[in-house]
Amino acid sequence: MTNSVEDLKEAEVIIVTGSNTTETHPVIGMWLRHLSRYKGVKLIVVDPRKIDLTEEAIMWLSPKPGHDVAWLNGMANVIISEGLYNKKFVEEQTEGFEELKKIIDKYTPEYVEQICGIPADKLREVARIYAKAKNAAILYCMGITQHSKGTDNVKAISNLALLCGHIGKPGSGVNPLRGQNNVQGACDMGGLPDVYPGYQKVHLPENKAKFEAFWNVELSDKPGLTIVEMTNAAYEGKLKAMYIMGENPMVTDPDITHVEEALKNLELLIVQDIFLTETAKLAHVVLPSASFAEKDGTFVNTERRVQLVRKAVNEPGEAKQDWKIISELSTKMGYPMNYKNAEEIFEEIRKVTPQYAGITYKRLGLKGIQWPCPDENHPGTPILHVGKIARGKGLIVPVEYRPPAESADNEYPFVLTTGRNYYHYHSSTMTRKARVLNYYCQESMVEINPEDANNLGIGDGEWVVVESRRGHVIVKAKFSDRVPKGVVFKHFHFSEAAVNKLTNTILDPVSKIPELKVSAVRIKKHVKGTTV
Amino acid sequence: MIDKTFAFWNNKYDENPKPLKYGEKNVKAVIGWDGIEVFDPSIDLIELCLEYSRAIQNYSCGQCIPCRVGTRVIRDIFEGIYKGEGKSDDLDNIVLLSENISLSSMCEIGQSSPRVFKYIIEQHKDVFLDYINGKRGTAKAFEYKSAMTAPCMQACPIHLDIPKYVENIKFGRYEDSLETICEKLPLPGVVGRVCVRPCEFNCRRTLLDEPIQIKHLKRFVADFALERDYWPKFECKPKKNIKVAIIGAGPAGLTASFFLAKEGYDVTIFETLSEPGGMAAVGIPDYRLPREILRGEVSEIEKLGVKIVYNKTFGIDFTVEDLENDGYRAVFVGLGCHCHKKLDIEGEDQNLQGYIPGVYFLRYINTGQEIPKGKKIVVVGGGNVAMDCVRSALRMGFEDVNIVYRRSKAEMPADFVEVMEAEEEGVKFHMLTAPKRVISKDGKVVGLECIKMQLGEPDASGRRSPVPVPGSEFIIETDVLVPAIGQEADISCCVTAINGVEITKKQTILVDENFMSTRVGVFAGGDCVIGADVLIRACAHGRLAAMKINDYLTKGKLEVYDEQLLEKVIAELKPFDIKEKKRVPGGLKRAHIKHDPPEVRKTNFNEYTKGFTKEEAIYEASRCLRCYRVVTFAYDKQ
Amino acid sequence: MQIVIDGKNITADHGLTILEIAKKEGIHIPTLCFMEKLLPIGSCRMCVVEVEGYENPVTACNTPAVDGMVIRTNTEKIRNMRKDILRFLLINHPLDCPICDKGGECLLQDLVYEYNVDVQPYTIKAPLKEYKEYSTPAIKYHPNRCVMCSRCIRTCREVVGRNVLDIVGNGFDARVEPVNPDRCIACGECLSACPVGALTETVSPTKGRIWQIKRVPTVCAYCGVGCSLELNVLDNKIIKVTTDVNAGMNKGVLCAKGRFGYEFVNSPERLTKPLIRKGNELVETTWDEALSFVASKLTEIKNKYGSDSIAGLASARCTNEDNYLFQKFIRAVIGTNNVDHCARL
Repeated sequence: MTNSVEDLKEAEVIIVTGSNTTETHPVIGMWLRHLSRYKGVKLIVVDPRKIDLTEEAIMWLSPKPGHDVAWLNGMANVIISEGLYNKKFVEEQTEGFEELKKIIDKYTPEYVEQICGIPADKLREVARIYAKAKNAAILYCMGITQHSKGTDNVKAISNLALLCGHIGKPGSGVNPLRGQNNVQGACDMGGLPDVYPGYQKVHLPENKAKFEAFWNVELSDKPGLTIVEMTNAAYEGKLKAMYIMGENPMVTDPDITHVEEALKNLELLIVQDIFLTETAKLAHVVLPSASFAEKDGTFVNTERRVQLVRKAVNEPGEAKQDWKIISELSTKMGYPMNYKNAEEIFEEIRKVTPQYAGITYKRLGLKGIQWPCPDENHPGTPILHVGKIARGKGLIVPVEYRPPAESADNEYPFVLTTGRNYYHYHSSTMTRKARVLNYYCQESMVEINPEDANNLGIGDGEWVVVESRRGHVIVKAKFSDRVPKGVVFKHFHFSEAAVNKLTNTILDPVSKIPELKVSAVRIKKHVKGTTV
Repeated sequence: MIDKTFAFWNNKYDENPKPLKYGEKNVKAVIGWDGIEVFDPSIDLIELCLEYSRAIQNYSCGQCIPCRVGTRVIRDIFEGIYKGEGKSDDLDNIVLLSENISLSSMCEIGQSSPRVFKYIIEQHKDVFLDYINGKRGTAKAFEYKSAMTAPCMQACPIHLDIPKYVENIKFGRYEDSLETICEKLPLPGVVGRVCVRPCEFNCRRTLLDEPIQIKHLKRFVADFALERDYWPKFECKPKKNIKVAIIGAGPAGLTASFFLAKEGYDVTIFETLSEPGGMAAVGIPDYRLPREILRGEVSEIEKLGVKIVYNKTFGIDFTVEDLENDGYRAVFVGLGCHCHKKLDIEGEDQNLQGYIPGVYFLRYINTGQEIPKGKKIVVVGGGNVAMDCVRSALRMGFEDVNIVYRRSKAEMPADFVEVMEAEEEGVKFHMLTAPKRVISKDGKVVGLECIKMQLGEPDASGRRSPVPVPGSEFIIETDVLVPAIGQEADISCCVTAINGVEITKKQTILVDENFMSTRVGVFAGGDCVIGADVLIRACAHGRLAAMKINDYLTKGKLEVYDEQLLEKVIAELKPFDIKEKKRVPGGLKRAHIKHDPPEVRKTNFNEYTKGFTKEEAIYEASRCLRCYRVVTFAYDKQ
Repeated sequence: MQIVIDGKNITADHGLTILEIAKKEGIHIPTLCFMEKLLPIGSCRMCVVEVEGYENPVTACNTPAVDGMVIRTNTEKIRNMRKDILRFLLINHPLDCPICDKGGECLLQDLVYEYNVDVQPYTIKAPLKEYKEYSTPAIKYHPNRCVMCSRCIRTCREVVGRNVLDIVGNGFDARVEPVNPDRCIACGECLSACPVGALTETVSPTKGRIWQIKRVPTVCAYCGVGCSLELNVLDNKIIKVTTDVNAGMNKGVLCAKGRFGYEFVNSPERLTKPLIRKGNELVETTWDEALSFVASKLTEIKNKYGSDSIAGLASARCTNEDNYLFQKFIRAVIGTNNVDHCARL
């Protein structure tokens, strides 16, 4: 997020798109509801599904899944053609406006309506509300990014913010909601194939030199493989060993039939986890690690807030904290790591990570600090790009609309989109062991519009087969007005009906994110005892 | 037994209180927020107190502790005494408790209701002690009726539960607030804009600082609903397959249709104009009431199954007989006051070019018809219609806009906000000036001869009557002259169209307390039964008439409702007393209402008053003192 | 703006309530229904204070101070009034403090103690209120312990936006009821707002008194919001999750996962020993054997196929420290940049 959660109260308008906030980020969802009801915030939801947040929204636009660049460009079209953009900001703080102008002409709201189904006049209204607001923020999540054109979607969002100057001030900004508790931290720490900690590119010689000197070892300057590329490489036999710490790709990754074959193909699979997950069951070695309650350390939340995690209970049996396991393994392999505690590691982190330079455990206290925090007197940065865009000038990058990789057709007439459920988390390894959460949601169902279901002769709660070009699952149908006609929704938590048997592995060329939000599927009634 | 009649009300003792009537029945005693009045000494004082304390518990909302629990303790003590289980220290306990509860409760239920106990027990301790000592006496048993009201609720012609819907806003429960309003009124956005707000003039907050802006709060929830495309889901009873006709799609007719549709009737409204709203549509300018607000709320009523047939004029296109022949089992007549009162001065001629009565002036603007042209305009009158005329004239491009009124500004019946805003916009006010003669040339108005007035003795209405200053005549030249000194209903159509209907001298339809005319099955309400009045009263009539029509069609008999009886008897008890002692500090200014500046707003018909933001609305609602008042009447058992 | 509280001259900003000003000045005014994150309603009347010149006291929590006010917070009259309110609350209040979850951290207990309420002159002839089903099985509502402060109702409405609860009934018979039970999301915000033991959780079989447990502030391990929470630990076991309104960015608010999703930590299914594959089975082994095997096998593969034949998945679930060391291990020890995690999933 460029801005903070608290700071959203300064917004006049908040557009939430591709985020079912009340379920995936419940506490932010509650905050949005509060702001819309008790403060002067106008909430606008753009989402194919009629998510709970639409209750508190002044408008809800429902685009067809996978066509987001169209409506985002449509908004830009209205903002430019009606002269509503922030001319001063565009002139002084951005570049690329003229290029955008060239391509944007054809994205009239009427043209956009044909593509994604949002009524032209409604899109115009939203564009005007967004552009005319004193402060306006856009919040988005995986509904925007998990597409083969996910990067384009994000660029189109950022273009809107730059056009209207809705960035670098309270109550505005481009605000992706990060999914997992420490996904921000894992990225910050260089848990990515192309960057060292602090987003320092591995291919740049100065970075390589810096880390070689610091770690006292020779490093590779070749960017590594992304997660889906790893699976493919393992499948093809190019990858021989994998060390997986606290992840469960056997549930969360797209096309898991493929993932399973790939992992089985490895000579060595090491899984370090707190449970014997679906992935761990395939491992050669399973290393028991500590849960969050058993460790000291730091997590970074979606607003870049570094916060202290404190050990409350002891690890069960012989389980160990992850960093200890890694240290011991490393030492065994001839590269000694002798950290006394997590804080010592953090001290090393802040020496190599400029954004963390000013953060210490002591300073974190109960409130945490938002990076960048360059020195120990710096209060942290609740809002990015204040006064000046970080890279100098905000880059407006024109993007053209391209359809998703798969569309509904005669053979597979429905679009399947996926997401999370409020009561469960990701592969549900943790949540299914909590009785309260399990009480509310024990089985996975596919949400289908009642009209579609009637046409298919499917009753509420009946078993159905959902089938894509990659596989099938058998689940119960749940009638729901939340999904529009032609769209079905299923959450991806449960391994026994893993929706990722169906999803598409096609990646966004830049971010390498898979297109989990759009897969063409067909649905039929399941007759017990028959094979599919 | 008490030995004599007495009243202790509003801190005044009176041995011979003015009798009260509950409908036909004589009230024997009344106990309430402000004291006690006993008209029949044979009343059982303990039973009266017990009934009253039960009522307090029943109305106590359960929020604050002293009222919720404390008044229950009092009730249980009274119950004990009544059952003969009283103890000697019971009375002291009640006195202490009632003092404490009235000091520490959150709202007026707890603050005002128990206060009376102290007085009763101190003055009539012997009666209580007799009871405690087993001497119950021969007091007669009466029937009791308890009610809860509030000064604002009482002042509101339709008796909206104002404290409740204001409190809902305070809590952010805007939908619930709207629902509370819509229980009685289907036009919240309209009334929230144009109501003359008697409630605000009876708001107890005035004692501390300034009244709550109830009208704007009502508009706020209506706007909230509009912004979110939300509207309460009204449940309609199963279809009865009974047809009811309504004549006139004005506020009275629309409200009646709403309640009849909810009861399951097939309702058809016949409207002479080509759009809904009646006077609200063509008599109120758009800058005060945007037409889409009215249309929007009408469309919600239509969603309940109400049909509106436009361009059908009663008396010309159809009669009551026709309706009955078409199978309509009941008719509600809700005609508005579309006719004007003439100035009755020399030279006045309807046919003069440049002469146009106020109601027509407004109607033509609202319906896009042509109005007389010119640079200068003179409007005669001091009411809201006159204000609407001058301000509309500015917006139509008149450069020199004048108002002529025979009394002073203080006596103007128009809303003072309207007067102030008209002045801001540049309207010239000629006060203490009466029109004397219309001056015309070649069939065209060219001026108005006026005479200066001075204020004499107060008349029957309490306003000082103006008397002419001899020899002070002068002439105001003008292109257009607009008389706007009052309206009347044109009910001539009814005489021929409703067989057997009786018309009053004031040219209104004669109806009984149940809104039925002298012709069985034909009901009437609104301006056509009371003469030109405010919009909310027309709505109130519409609602009651609908309920009566339902009674007529289902029970076959009509009776006056408790709420109608209570309205009258409570009015006698005066729930609002401007001289009341200030018991808590005030000093909270009302939330500021934003307007477009005069120079901008006077150029167009756009709504210039901005609604509250949520924070403003919550602040404003939080100022409410929640002045609910509980009262119990005793009268003869039937 | 100048006001006087308990004889102390105070300069304060306009728009602040008496309670806010008193708090700043360190003047204690008792409250019960007041919560900082909720709109003040002044219904419990505990915070009544006297304002000079006026007969009725006002509630400090929702009365903005006005210039020139002379306020007294602790007079005999006020103390008696508060005492009476507490007596009212104790009518029919079960004296089950010894078995009440809130014993020791109950606002009613504290206030009754502070005001030394030792005599109960009042009675009400009403049967005890019956238990009814609450909107979630994770929470139980004890109507007779309830002080009707409506903190639960208001939290559900104002903070969570679900409007599940409301006051049902009038007068003494009023109680809190889930009027929209279907809207409940089991976030337990009502539970956390309850100042007394009227709402108790039913999840943990083990209970602990405030002085027996340790509250460890940490961060929730589920989504990216990163809510601050406190793990309540008794004998090395998590028995409850509470929050501190001053910690983190969530103002003490949690969702169902944060509040009730901790049971996995104590799960018997947790891995407690390293496992190694023997044939088709994973069998328990020692750390030394497991790590030695991994070390030698990784070295072997690295030597045979090169560093880029090995890849690691770091974790969005683990700490920065874990991830830092993990990528350092992959980069520095294995010698490849093949490190990623499920940021995109």
